[in-house]
Amino acid sequence: MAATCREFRNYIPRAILGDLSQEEQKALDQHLAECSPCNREHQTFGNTVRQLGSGLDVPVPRHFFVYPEESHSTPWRAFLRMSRAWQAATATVLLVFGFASLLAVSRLQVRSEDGALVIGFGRLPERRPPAPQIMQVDSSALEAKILKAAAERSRQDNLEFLRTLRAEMARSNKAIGREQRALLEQAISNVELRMGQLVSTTAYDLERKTDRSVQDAYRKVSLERARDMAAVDNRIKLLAINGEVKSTQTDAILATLLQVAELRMQ
Amino acid sequence: MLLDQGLRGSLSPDRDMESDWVAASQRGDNRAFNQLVLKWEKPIYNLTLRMLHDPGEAEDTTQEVFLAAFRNIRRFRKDSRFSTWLYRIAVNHCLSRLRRRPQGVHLSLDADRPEERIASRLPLQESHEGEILSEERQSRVRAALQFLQPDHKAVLELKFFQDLTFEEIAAVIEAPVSTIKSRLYAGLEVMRYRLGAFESDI
Ligand SMILES: [Zn+2]
Repeated sequence: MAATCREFRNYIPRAILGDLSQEEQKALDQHLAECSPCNREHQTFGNTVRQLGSGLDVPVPRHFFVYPEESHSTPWRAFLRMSRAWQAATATVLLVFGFASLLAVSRLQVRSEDGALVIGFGRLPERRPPAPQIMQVDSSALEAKILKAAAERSRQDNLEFLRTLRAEMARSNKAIGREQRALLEQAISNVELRMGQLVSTTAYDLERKTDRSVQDAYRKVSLERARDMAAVDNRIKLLAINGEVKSTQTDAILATLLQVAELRMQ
Repeated sequence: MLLDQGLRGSLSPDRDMESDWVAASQRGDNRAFNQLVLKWEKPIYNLTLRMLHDPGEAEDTTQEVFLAAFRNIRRFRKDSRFSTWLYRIAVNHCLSRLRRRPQGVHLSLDADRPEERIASRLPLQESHEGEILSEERQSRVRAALQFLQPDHKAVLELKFFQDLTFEEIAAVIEAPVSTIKSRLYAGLEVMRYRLGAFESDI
């Protein structure tokens, strides 16, 4: 091979990857036009790169989703990792706090008074005497009743119920006083708010539970599958090393094991 | 699977979506991260498959790669591309597995069997003559790749199968472009002797 050819041979792969300067490319083109061995070499490299670039990806055998690791973040695990002294201290603080909040909640009073919401601990200030009214409406009893009804129905039913209630209210517009109407409206919006919270907490809980069970099932299956695959691989390596079984037999064993693994995934 | 469908339903190839998913993942949202998994699992699995030449090991490694990515997603900086970062994790996992292998095992173990295993897992399609040829070629290419040094194989994989530029590969491997090029040309030289004689039949 001539000295010039040797130099151009280095250009060839670079040319195919577009990694030559204009001058180098021009010189190579000129050489390829008059040197058939280098031209063949150029084609061979072209062939190689085309084969490498024609790879179609195979589909994934399964999905590779990840799930949050419980071991990293649950408060209970964190508690278990603490020293005895810290555990005792934390438990005491939590107990005191828990007791205090229980006390607070049990003495917490919420009352809606003439369209305003009154919240306080223990005894609330005395209620102002109600203004003379055309019709007697016990708003807290109404609220409780509505709440109870609302809780018993599904979400759609609840909305329908509220809609009917509003319509009813609009119809009896003239029958009740302005303050009473405000009171009723307040009660209804309270119900709506609580219902919304109830629905979203329930949805969240439900979602979390489903998620957890799907995760558990998935983890179990993939663990089993990983074990199967590890067993298969070990078996193959052993067979390959010892040469104790003929290749047709190893294929049969492999096929069966793979089928078992695939079946478990379904 | 229900889970599968739910995730696919909201899948979009948009890059902006990807940065949203990354941001949500950094807040610990594994669902957002699983969108990234759906987007990238095929290239990553195929990368590990070509690097390791063993479907079982490729599967394990791909899962490891995504787990490692999820655990370390807070360390990912937005000034680089997510794919660059993910490719780096995948390549490093493959290289460390290849280094752990006893010397020469990737050559001495029956080279054809893993290919049969891949073929047997492919979904059954109408067997056009072209597809059979293509499958043969793929299998030849995958087998030829096993003759490369791990470092060189990684660069070839990123260049020819993942279609990255020299600069992108340099970012993945964290080496200068000149190093990437010299590995690429050295690897290509080996490939030329393994594959050059075959027609590319394209
Ligand atoms: Zn020449």
